[in-house]
Amino acid sequence: MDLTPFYKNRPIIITLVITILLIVMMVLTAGDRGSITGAENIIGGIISPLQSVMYGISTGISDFFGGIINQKDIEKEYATVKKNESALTLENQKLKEIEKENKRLKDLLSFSENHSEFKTIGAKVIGKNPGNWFNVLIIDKGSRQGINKDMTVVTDKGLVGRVIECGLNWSKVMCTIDSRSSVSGIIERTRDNGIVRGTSIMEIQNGLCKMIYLPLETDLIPGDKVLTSGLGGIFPKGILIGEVKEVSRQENELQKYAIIKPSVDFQHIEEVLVTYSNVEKIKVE
Amino acid sequence: MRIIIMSIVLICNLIIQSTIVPNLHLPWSVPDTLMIIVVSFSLLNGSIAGAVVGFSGGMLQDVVFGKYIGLNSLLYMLVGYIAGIPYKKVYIDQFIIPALIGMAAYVLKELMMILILYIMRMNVPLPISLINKIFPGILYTGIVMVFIHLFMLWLHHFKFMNNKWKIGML
Repeated sequence: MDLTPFYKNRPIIITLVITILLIVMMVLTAGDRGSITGAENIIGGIISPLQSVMYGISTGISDFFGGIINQKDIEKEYATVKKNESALTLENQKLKEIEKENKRLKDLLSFSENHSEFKTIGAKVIGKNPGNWFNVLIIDKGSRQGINKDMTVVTDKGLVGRVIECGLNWSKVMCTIDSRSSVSGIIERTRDNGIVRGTSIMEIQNGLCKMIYLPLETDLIPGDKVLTSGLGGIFPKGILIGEVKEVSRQENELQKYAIIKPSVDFQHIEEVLVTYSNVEKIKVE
Repeated sequence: MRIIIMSIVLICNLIIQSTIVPNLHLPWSVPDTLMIIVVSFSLLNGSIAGAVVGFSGGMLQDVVFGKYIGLNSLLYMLVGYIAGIPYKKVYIDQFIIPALIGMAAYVLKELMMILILYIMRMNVPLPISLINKIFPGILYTGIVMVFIHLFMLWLHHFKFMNNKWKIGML
């Protein structure tokens, strides 16, 4: 048998075979997996501490420059501080960071005090999904600290998302603005139910959600608050998702949809609380 | 040696891409530094080496961030393979042609992503938002490509980076 054509086209054939294998793997892993395999755990275990350090440094730098750009007062303050010794500047910066962190943690604490029905675990955000397509956060707590799949992730401002997979010391959190995310929501004022879906790249602009399946007779106004409804059994009831920004009617449909501005600022998220309510899940046999 | 160096480059890139790049708060889009590294490496080393680096970098991203294992590996492997086609066939200068190839590869990658989203029955973005997203992305890719390609050229000058990967090594 003449194998010359095979040898000549070997790179293309191998690439095609691997392409098919990867598609199969993608389909196999597309369902709910929950736990992470051993190999993934090892790689995540090596990378997450490095991410933790780099994320801290880069948010520090970003906040530092953001402050200078946004506020002229800080510019003046910066000019005077610059005259002092560099060590003092560094210390000053460190203290500011600690103060900000302290405020954020206090706010987070107020959430757990106001929602005593939830048990909470504090976690730091150590990485964000690269690229434009998905919104996944990496947090520094995993199954060893009691995190499980489908736990709800919040900040004092409201709902962040849910845990989709967890390793030993790190977990993946799918944000509510991820296009694959859907949360059952209720409008606080009118008590209309709907589904809040992420729009990441889909429509209008990043960072907004869309509430679909709203009844046609609903009289929503911009500013109405959207809470989790507790239906579906994953998210506990009553957590703030965001505010209605605008309401429209779906084309050729007997339902309305609303654009929701999430209450959480996903661009500047640093600490989160992972919560689980005492409601036991019903097992479906 | 080349495998070790490229592994370090890919891991460092993943860390930078998931920590520093999102904190730059660039409007509309973010530069895909992994794709740029893969394209630059393919231009300097050919399709097979490019596909291997694309596969490895994509797999790393899948494992740490992905929900579907294989999605990024597939995209970056194909980008690496295709970007390596002009290797030794077309004269490639230092800046302009790599930047143009990088920009074309970015468009190709985003189109392949839309196709995969469509096949997997996920939300396929509206054309208007795609334009808003992809055009800044093309611009960022072109700019960042110049710097990363310079770095890759510098790496490529070392002797240990020039041991050819043969298909048998796979």
